[in-house]
Amino acid sequence: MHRISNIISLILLLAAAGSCVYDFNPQVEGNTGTLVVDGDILAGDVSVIHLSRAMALDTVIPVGVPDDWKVWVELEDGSRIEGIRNKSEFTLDTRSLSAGMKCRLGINNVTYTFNHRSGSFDMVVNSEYGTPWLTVQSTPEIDSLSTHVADDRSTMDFCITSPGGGSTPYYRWFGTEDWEYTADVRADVYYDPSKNSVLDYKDGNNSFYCWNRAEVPEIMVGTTNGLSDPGFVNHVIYTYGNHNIKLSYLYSVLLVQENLSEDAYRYWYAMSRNSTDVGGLMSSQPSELHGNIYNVNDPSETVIGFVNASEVSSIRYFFDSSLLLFYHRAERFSEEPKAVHSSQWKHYYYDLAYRPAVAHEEETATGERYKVPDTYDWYPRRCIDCTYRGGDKNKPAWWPNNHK
Amino acid sequence: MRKTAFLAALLLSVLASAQPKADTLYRVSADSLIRHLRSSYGLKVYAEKDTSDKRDYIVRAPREEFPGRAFKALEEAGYIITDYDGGHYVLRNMGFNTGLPFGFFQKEEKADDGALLKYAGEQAVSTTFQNKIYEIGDRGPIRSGKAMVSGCVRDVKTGEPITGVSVYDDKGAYAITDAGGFYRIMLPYGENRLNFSGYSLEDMKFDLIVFDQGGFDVNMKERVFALTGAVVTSEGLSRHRVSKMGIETVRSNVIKNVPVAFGEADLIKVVMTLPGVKTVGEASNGFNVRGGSTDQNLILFNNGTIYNPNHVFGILSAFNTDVISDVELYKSSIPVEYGGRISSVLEIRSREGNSKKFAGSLGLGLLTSRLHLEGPLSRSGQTTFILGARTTYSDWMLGLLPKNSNYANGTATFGDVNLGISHKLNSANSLHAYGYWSADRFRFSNDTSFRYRNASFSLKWRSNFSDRHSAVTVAGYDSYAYHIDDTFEPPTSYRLSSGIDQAYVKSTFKSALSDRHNLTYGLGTTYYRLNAGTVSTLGDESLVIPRALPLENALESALFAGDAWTLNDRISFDAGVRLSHFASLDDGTTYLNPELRLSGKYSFTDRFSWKAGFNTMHQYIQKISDCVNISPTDTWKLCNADIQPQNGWQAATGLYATVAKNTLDLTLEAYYKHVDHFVDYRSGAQLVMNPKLADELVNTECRAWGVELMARRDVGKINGWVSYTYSRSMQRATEDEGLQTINGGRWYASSFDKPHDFKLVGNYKLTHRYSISANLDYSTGRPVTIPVSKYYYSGAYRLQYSERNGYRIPDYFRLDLAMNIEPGHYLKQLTHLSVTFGVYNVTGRKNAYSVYYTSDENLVKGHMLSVLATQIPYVNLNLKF
Repeated sequence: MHRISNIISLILLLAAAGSCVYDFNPQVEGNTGTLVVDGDILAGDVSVIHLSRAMALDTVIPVGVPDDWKVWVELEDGSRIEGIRNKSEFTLDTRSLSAGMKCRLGINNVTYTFNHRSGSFDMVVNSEYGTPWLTVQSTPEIDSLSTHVADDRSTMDFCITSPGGGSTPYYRWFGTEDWEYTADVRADVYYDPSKNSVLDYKDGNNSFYCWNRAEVPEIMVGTTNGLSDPGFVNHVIYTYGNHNIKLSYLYSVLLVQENLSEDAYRYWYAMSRNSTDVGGLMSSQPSELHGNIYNVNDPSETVIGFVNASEVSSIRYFFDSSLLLFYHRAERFSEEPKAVHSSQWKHYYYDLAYRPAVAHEEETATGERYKVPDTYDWYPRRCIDCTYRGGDKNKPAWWPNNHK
Repeated sequence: MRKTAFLAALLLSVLASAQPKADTLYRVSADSLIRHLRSSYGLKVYAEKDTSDKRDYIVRAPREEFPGRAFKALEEAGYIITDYDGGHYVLRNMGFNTGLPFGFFQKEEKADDGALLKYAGEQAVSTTFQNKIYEIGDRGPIRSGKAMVSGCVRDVKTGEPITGVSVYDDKGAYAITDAGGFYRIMLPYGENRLNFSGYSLEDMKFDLIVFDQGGFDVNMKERVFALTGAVVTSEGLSRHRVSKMGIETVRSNVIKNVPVAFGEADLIKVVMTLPGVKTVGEASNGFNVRGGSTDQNLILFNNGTIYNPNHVFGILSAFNTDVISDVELYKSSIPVEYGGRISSVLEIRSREGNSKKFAGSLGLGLLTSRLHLEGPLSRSGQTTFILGARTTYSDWMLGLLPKNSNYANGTATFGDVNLGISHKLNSANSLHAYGYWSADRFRFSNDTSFRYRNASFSLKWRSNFSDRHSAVTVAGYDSYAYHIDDTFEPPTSYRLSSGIDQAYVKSTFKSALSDRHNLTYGLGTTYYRLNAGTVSTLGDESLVIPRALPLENALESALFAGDAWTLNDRISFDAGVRLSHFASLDDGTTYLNPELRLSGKYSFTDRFSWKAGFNTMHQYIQKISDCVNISPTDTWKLCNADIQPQNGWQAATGLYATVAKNTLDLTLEAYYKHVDHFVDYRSGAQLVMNPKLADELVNTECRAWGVELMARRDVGKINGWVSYTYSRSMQRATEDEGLQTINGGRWYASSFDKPHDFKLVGNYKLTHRYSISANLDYSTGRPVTIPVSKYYYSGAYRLQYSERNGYRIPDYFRLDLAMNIEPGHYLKQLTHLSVTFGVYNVTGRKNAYSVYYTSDENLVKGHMLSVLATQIPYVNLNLKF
């Protein structure tokens, strides 16, 4: 009987191993070049609009637009707020806007040709894009942002509480996050290749603490439509796993809440489903997204993006991992240092990408420890240099600790 | 060669001379027959003279067998023969006990002699023996012309009616038994030879003398396959005799031999192996017939409509094969009595139950356990029942899945129960009651659970109210409902419910006007009550406002009439009109649509024929879902002023040949199909709980065409079928929505467009008990919408998708093998154990169910979901008793 149960168990296990997700990358004829307009008109705040182009799936570097593009916000009275360009980003001072006003976004790219007759440059509008008139939505304040750790401590939910009461029951949240993290090994020294020497860090400088920043990648939308209360109570807006380096040391997020028109909500909801609810047994088919930006001269041109106009409210939240011990490395650190004499420093630095950490110590026959001259314990760079993980030493001015 | 023939002739002559002298009595009365037995054989035969017996008896047999044949003939005429103390007592309609009655000392168990006698008397009119001459009708002068002979074909062991038995004479007359085993055939007066031939049954031939119209019931028995050579069968015969086309029949014993996932015999999975039937993936609910969508198939189980025919999100079908008699799929010539769906009708019939003894089976598989019981409810066998039930322990399957499958925390359970009760009121009338219930419950995560159930109850009255006319009236109630419980966050926890209730009544009459015209006509109506969506709170903290979409009510009715017209042996037609009427009881919208059913046949020879057909259909209820298969979250929508009925037509033609000593059926069918008002959805459409649903729908037109080739062998050591289909299924938006027009209004492949499709279902019988089965499936990958570029938007890379269904997933290939061990043929053994073990997906191919991309911050990754991506060994035990 025991043997039979073993056989059955084996069969069950084999069968259970059947369903899986595999990597799959077919050859796709890319459809690149579509104009992408990313950003909203934020009343009472500064608005930032990004212009870029859709690119092939295997492209790494985002494709921006040439210098001859302009972005502005037009108000009902005909006045315009011009965008100030910084790379592919246009900053617009929309602090004067308030709920109930109407506005629209305009974009064009212009070239100037020299007019030999007049001796001046003529402006030629190559293409012009715009949105319909948008009503600025009102947005309530955010009560709080909190975190909730799953019972098995595998994930952490970020939850928002807001009283609601905006123009519509539709909301979106977006945020900018900063996080401080550390290298695996703290180094007291660094190697100067120009002098082929190992020097002590001074004035608290180090390669141990780093900072990084990003936008919250999650599409965060929600609605109180159909609820008896217009607000959100501990509504989960995004979730991170316990291996996420953002939560490894000190994390901060500036979360912004905006109220959406119904069309905007549907756009964002469809985009969210395209990103997360695809490919399963009962998943819906991906949706084509139709935004509210159109080419004034050629409405058949596809433009990606949906511009919403709304007041905003925001909240900043800090999470200190040391208080909860939430973070777990995906792999245990098990790197052994190598004692490297000065004769091999260049080789280790250039060829093996190692970095020195501390002076190498050994024991005498009597058990006394001593530092070996011109010899340091070296580790792979990834263990010592925190910038290896994508961050830098640019600490935000408002960061609440004194790390360098 | 000549020498062999000579020896054979010599042997035959020797045998003939050695045979005892035959005795013959031709058209004598019962008295004369009894006197002959007394005088010629010295038997003590005691009989009471029955002056009402005007029959003429014909008995022809060798002398040794003559008394037995004579007594049998008397028995068949209604006499009871009782042997006692060396004498033979021949009494009319009564016998006497030669011992103490059963249970004499247990008065409460005393047998009902009356019922026993009645049972015996009824059995006597059924015919099992072929080497006799039977008279039909009251004896009289042989007239010219033809008379109607009708009867019922039953299984000799169980007494159950047998469907699909070909009944034919040697001069071109042909009939086929219906769902009640009933046939009706016009035969010339005088001597005839009537043949009965059915799948997996011993062929039978009877010599009849037809004096007048009359009844002739036949009991047939299962054929034991001759393994050393081919056995002539004639199920393929029906292909050449009827003009309808595109009909596929699957018997229950075939279903049990086709290897499927986890070894669970599965009706729907076998249907999917037929040409022209496709599915979007391995664990997909529903099937697509000739380029139609899953909701364009009418699935009838004992006349009840089953809206979700699946368990465990499509891994198993919702039908217990232990209680199934047979399945018929109509994919082209849809009978005039059926309507309401564009693509096909799948008619599933359950068995009536054994009328002679209690029997049952117990099954044990990897996913399910099942039990079925059947037997007579009365001693006469007039009332029978069949009960089947299944339950599952499939939770383990999801619980052990790899974490990256996203289903590791899931659970899945289901159960289903079937009950059928049949009661024979008299030789012409019978009542049948059916009940079916199935329920599924599953969850993929801790916070969302799905439940759905099907229920169907029906009462059927079958009446052969004259030799030429019969009627089937059925009334029933069907229900489908689902619930989704979402408890992700207490304030937004809710239950979403939706469902359909329908009540229906339908009468179908069949009249044989002559030997050339068989009329089918009738009427039916269905009342729908549809809950398009209800949201209710779940939990004390829920802030969800309960709300419900208005209930939808409608009446769908139909009048229909059709004639099967046999012009001559070679040419026949089937022509019918179905007048379908739909009335929305909410907004008063009505639709009245005539539908045509035309088909014709020309037989070049008995084994080679050509057919053509043309059908029009209308559909007034449709599935609302943006999934490509049937999902438990689907809602259904009735037509109204905003949503027009789908209408479609199909033209088809085909060549049919039976070769290789009548054992191999070859079929070539081609079709073209067009559908208008098929609904698709705007991108990002809100389909759930949307009171303005019509605004989210897009009208499209569909066209499909294809060629299906099939070779099928139902008998012999090697049997099964192999088919190849080339087909396309396209659709396009018919409304100009500007930029939002799907694919700019151009034709695009539908989600189930799989041009190349090769299927093989084979069974090789090693011995009577051991056989090997194989199932091979290859098809082009289905169309999908995949990303063609990415863009940075709101903090991460997002995906820009291709035009709808602009790409395809990799081709599908799967081979399954199974070994079947049937029980030994020991008559006295109380239980019989059959064992099936096999391997699903022998090659372990990772067939794609879907491909998709995810954007994880700055990285876009492509993924392929493969549902059953490895070899799956299985064992299935089935104990019959």
